[in-house]
Order: sequence, then structure tokens, then C-alpha cells
Amino acid sequence: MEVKLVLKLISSVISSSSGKPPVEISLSDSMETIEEWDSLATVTLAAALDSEFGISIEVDDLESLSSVKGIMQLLNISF
Amino acid sequence: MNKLATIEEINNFYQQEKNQSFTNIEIQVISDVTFHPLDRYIPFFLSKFEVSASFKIGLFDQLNFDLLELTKKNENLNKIVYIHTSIIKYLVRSNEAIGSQGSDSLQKLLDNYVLNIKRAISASPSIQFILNLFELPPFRVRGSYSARAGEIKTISQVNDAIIKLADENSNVVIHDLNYISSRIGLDNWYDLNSWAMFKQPFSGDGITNFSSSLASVIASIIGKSKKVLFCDLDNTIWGGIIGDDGHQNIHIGSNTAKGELFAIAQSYILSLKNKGIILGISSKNDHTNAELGFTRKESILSLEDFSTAMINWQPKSGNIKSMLEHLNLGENSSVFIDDNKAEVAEVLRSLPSCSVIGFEKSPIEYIKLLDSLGFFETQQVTEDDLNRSKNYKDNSLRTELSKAFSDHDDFLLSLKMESNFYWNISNDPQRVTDLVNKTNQFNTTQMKTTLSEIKKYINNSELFLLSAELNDIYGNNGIITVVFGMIRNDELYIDNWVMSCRVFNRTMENAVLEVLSLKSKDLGIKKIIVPFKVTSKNQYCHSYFQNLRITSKKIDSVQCYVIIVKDYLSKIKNVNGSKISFKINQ
Repeated sequence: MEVKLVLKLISSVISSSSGKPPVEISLSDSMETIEEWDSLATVTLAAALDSEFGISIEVDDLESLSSVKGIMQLLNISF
Repeated sequence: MNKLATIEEINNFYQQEKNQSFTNIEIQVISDVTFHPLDRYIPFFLSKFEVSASFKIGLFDQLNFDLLELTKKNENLNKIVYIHTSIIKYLVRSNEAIGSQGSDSLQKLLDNYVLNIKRAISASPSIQFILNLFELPPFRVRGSYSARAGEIKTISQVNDAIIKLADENSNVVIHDLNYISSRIGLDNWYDLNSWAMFKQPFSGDGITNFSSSLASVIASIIGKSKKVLFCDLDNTIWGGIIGDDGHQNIHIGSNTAKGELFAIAQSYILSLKNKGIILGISSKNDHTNAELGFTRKESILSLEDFSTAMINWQPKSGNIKSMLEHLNLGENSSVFIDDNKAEVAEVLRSLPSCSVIGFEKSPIEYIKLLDSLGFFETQQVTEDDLNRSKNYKDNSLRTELSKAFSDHDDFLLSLKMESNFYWNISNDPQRVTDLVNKTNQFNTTQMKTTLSEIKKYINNSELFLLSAELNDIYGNNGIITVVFGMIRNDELYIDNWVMSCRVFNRTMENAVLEVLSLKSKDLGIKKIIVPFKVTSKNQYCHSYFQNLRITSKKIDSVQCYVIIVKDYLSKIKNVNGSKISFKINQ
């Protein structure tokens, strides 16, 4: 799976959750660096990762959902 | 299985510009589990019905408080309240309660839930409530015995109580979460990690299916469900190409395994017709050849089940457009199914408001999609729904007859039309409500209503409601028009006037205005004020008023047509007469 594709998915999920235009997301981004990436966007991301990749985020992995690198690790993507 | 929507499709939807012609609605969400991200998914599915929705979401876990607020406010507004729940919340809570005994406590919690909702419903008759039926739980402690004395039995009883609420209150509809969760399977329905982290209990697929299903219920409440299904024939209604294989060799009925699948599909389509959906055929074929397919005794559908058919070699979009004109229905009320990707693309491109369903191999694919997308969702089946196919067929006969007359007036007279008008009385207020909510083309203000509102117009002396049915030599069309509004001093102010497209070009409009003028004269009313909101769909209605050549002016910043009763009555014989004899019941 391409890093670029996942970055695009994260960006558009955050955008559709916040109702604001998509922002460019890079590997170093997280909830702390992207204003629109709030808790609601995280809920939407969890649902999107489940329906797109069949990945149910485990409770222990909650923290991974708050950064791009964490999501890449969840998806087993090397970056 | 075809996915109902991908994340990409949903995100693209949010990048597009908002379509201004959509019907806007606001839905209040009262919830005891997290509603997000359903508020992002539901608008995507509602757009298929040309509806745009915004959600007013209550605070998390404040269901009882919000219900109480609703009861206290006793708002007299027409609005939709959706109550968002999942059984997960109650299962966990039932065992948290001190001294609880599993299902007994669950029973108490759920009884309490139903009781609170019941109070809110009776306190707010003008609010339209949408209630979920509860899903089955992910675990059952006592195995199969739970169905006799445990969670499963409790949930089934509570669901019966919720259905009863809908049966007894016209302002309640149910959303069958129990069915939707069963369809995708309970193991696929819940995401307990998501519940633990976000109090959002559904999986990604669960959210998509939930949203699609709830969107179709919302669309049906405001009369936006689809009305007509156009079908391709080869490999859609039967297996094989009738022109190549010959009618004896197509797969149809239970003689072959492939034919059995088409029998299931045909049976589904026939059931749609039987509950009031109009069927049409759009097929590229030789007409005579194609008809032979329906002569096979194994065919469940007969040619007579279709109200209209265009079987030729012309582009399908053009044929569908002609059939819609003939049926007096809008493009957005239609669904088209075809296995051929090129045909699907052609219709999608030329008729963007028509909902097009393509499929790969098996007819079961399109049946599943039709079902999951809920295009033909309905809250009840009325007598009018049951007679709809026949009515449209009768209309075809009327059109045939009109061709025999060179003068349209002679044709109208030959129909021997008679109308029964009802002033402030109604034998069927539900039909009146449905007509107001389902009609787009002859609709002066686009105002939607509820059964309780309609009853107010009938019973309040400062308000009025006039409805009418139309009979002719081909049968009874039932209630086909409704006008309602206020009586203000010497003015009759029309809140909305709708008329079924089935009776367009029959001078019924003139008969309605004549009856309104006669009643106004009796009541000492001098003017009839008709506020008018022009939309992309009510052109027929707009042209009618423009051709009346009456004054149009702004009153309280609303564009209105003004009918001076005395002048209007004096002109009727020469200008705006009708070819309908009528009787006023009051």
C-alpha cells in the first residue's frame, strides 16, 4: 500500500469529518499539528480504516490513531 | 458484494458544491451513543433522494434529559427528531445497576426507555419521531434459552412495544436496525473496540449500512422515495439474449438454476409493483421478440405488470425521458437497472437525477442494492398505492383515447368527469397528508406537513382545507388535490395547494379555483391570496398561474398571486371554465 494513498485518505477523512477543505498531511503530522484532527475526526478515521482495510483498532492501539506514523504502523506500511 | 459506498465516494461528495435544488431539512438527534460519523455518511445517501440534511446533535448520553426538554417545550413545529440508540448501551448498564439480575434489569431499563419516549411523543404531536428497533446483542449468556427467558426475549418484547408506538401514533416511524444488523451479521455489525474507545458501537460496514437505511427512512417521511422502476430485459428480467437465443431458450423460472435466480428477481419486482411502485421497460430489442419473453409460462412478471414500455434501438435515456413525461413523473423519482455498463453510463450521463443501478453477473446483485439503498422505502401502503399501477395504466388508455380526438375539449367531455369536493371534512386525512408531502410538480409553496397539522386545518374555524377526488369513465382517481390555508378577515390565504400529476391537463385546476371562489363568496371573502415559490420542479404549476393572467405582487416579501373573487367568478364561463361537473360536500 502506498504511503501517498494513505496520506490522502487521512486528509480527506479529516476534511469530511470537520466539514473544512482538505489540508495537506505529511508523515510527521498528528492531532497536535493539524487543527481539524479532533476527537470526532479520530472516530471517523477508525470507521474508515475498518471499512476500507478491515482493521478494527484495538483499545491498546488507540494512541496510534492520533498520528500519521501510528496509522502507518497499524497498516503495516513502512515509511 | 457491492459496497454501498467507499470512503472516496463520501469524501468526493463533500468536495462537491452543494446542490441548491435539493430539499433542505434539519433533523434533531437525541442520542445515548456517539452519533458521529453517521452525520457525515447520512447526507451522502440522502443526496440520492435530492435531499440535503443538517443535524442538530444533542449532548452525548443525555437521552432522557433531551426527551424531557422536548416534552417541556411542547413545540408546535414540524420537525424530525431521530433517537439514536444501540442495545450495547443498555446491556452494559443493566449489569452495572446495583442488585441487578441481568435480563430483569435490562427489561426495566428498556421499559423505562419506551416510557420516556412515549411521554415525549404524546407531548409533541407535531414532531415526527424516528425510533430504532433494537439490534440483537453480540453475546447471549444462556445460549438458545435466552430466546425464552433472557436478553433475546427482552429485546424482542421491547421491539414489539416500539412497533406498537408506531402503530398507535401517526407521528412515529420505525427504523429497523434489527433487520439491518441481521443482514450484515452481528459479528460484522459491532465494533466493540470502537465502543470502548469512543462510545460508537458500530463497525465501518455497520455505519455505512446504518446510514443508507436511515437515509431512506428520512426520505420516505418527506415524500422523496422513488416512484418508478425502469428495467432492462436481457440478463436483467431473464437470463440470456432473447434476440439471439430465442424466447424458448432464455433462462426464466425454476427449470434451470440460472432461471431460478431470475425468478427471485422477478418476484421481488412484482412485489414492488404490488405495493404501488410503477414499472417500466427500457430495452434495446425487437419489440415483438421481447414480448415473447413474457409469454413463457414460467415468467412471474407479465407484460401487463408494466405501466409503460419502450422497446426499440434508440438511446435508453431518451426512452426513459419520454416514458417519464408520459407518466407525468420527474427524473428524480426514477430508478433504472441494467447489466450493460455502456447503457448504465449513457443513462447516468444524460439523466443525472435518475438513480442508476448497474450489476455484474447475477440479478440478485441488483435486488440487494435496491433493497439496501431503500429507494422504495415506504411508511405505509395506502389504497392509493395499491391502485397506482392501474391508475397509470388507465391514464395510458386516456392518452390513447385523446389521440382519437382532434379537439382536446371534446376529449375531456368524452371522459365524463365528475368531482367530489370536501370542504373542511375528510374521509382520509392520511391520504391528504401523503399527497401534500409526495407532490412536487403542482405544489405552490413546497410546504410539507404532518397528519396532525392536516387535522388542525380541518377542525379550526380560522383555517380551511379543501380536497377533491376525480372520477371518469375509466375509474376513480381517488383524492387528487388538496388546498389548505387561513381565513384572514376578507382574505383566503393559501398555505399550499398540491395536485397529483395524474390529472394534469384535465381542467381540474380550474374546477378547484371555481370551488374556492364559490366558497369564498359564501363566506364574504373578497380575495384569494396564493403565495408562490418557483422551483425547478413546479414549472407546470407556475405556467398555470402565469396563464391565468391575474395580478402577482409581493406581500410581506413573498411573491403572491391575487385572485379577486368577484372578477374571477364573472370570467369563469368564458375563460377559466372546467370540463368537470362537481359537488361540494361539507
